[in-house]
Amino acid sequence: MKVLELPLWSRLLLAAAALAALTALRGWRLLIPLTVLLVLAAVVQPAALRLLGRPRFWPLLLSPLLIGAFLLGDRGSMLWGLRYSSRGMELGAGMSLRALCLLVLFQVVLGGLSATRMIGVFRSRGLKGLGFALGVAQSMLSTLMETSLTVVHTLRLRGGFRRRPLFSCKLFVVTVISSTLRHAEDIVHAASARGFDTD
Amino acid sequence: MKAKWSVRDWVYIGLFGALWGAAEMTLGSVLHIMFPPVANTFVVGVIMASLGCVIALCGRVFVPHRGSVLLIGVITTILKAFSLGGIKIGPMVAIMAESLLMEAGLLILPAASAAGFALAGMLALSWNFFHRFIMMWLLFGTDFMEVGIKMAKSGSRVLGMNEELLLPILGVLLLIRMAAGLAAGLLARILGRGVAGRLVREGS
Repeated sequence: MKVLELPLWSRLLLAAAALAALTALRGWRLLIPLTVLLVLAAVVQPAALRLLGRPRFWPLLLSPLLIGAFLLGDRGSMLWGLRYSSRGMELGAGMSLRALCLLVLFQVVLGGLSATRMIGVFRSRGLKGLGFALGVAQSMLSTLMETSLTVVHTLRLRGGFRRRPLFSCKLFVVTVISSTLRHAEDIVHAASARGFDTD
Repeated sequence: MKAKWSVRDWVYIGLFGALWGAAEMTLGSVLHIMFPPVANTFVVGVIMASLGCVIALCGRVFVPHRGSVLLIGVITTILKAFSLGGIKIGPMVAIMAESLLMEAGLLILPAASAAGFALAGMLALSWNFFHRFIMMWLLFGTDFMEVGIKMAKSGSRVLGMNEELLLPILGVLLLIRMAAGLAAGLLARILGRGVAGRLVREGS
């Protein structure tokens, strides 16, 4: 259960502060931002911590540590009969900690948000035009992908990419953009008909 | 007087953002699988940044307002953030930085001129060079010198140069990116005008 809801500006501030800490800190000091982020995740976005319970998450996270210990640097140290590099292990641990910090950070900052919610956030902050543009982009994404695929298939079936690759690439871009702009006119007419204004 | 943004301008911003986003989600994802980003940011970075540059600057031809390229970048970043496959911090940082640099380029020189588009493209593609330094620092804690030496070593193999010539190799690698950016910027202007002409001829 969420204890606290973070407003958008504090999420952005948190992201900036965490990224600054990650660039400035080295070694065991990385545990400081990690602890802060884990506590914040528990308060703001408890669902983010579910990530830590996934079995496939840990091998992925610990792989830099193992690679560092056994493949990097001089393997002069010994543990349970296995030779390992303490310098490599230190480097690997640093990479794993950074990766964990970034994963938790993005869960906290973007968790619970979606493109649809972002549209609402922009509108409530007086950025009605940007919210509208994001809505247009989100709803047109699948149409654009389909259009692009259709154009690629058409050009390929006519042997375009094999015979004149550069000219075909130009044709592809021009066709996709002009077809997109034709859609734009339809959207503008629909918005105007509804008396929509971005001011 | 400040120019007013019409509904059409915002629709164009959304559509060009969606176009760049679609390219990132389809071609970008395929290229990241073919060339793992940690091992090779050059190929994927240059291809995706050039394509993004062409789309965003084409958008500028249709929305000739200050800040339009940056807004296209914002839309693309948000679409990328919420796309399938989770958060990809590298491409998101790159998209935002490239759109900011393109906007800066269009501020420095007259925005409608070929020189303005060329500078915008050059600045945007030059980000690809610095991107590796910043991402390696952020993700792996690697210092700039170490990244520079590694980049020069791999660059020396590709360029056939002596790997001791650290600065000239890095300079050539930056110049290659800037040349790609210059071409992308000019191509965007030509394509944008071509599409506008085609739409006028078709009467839309």
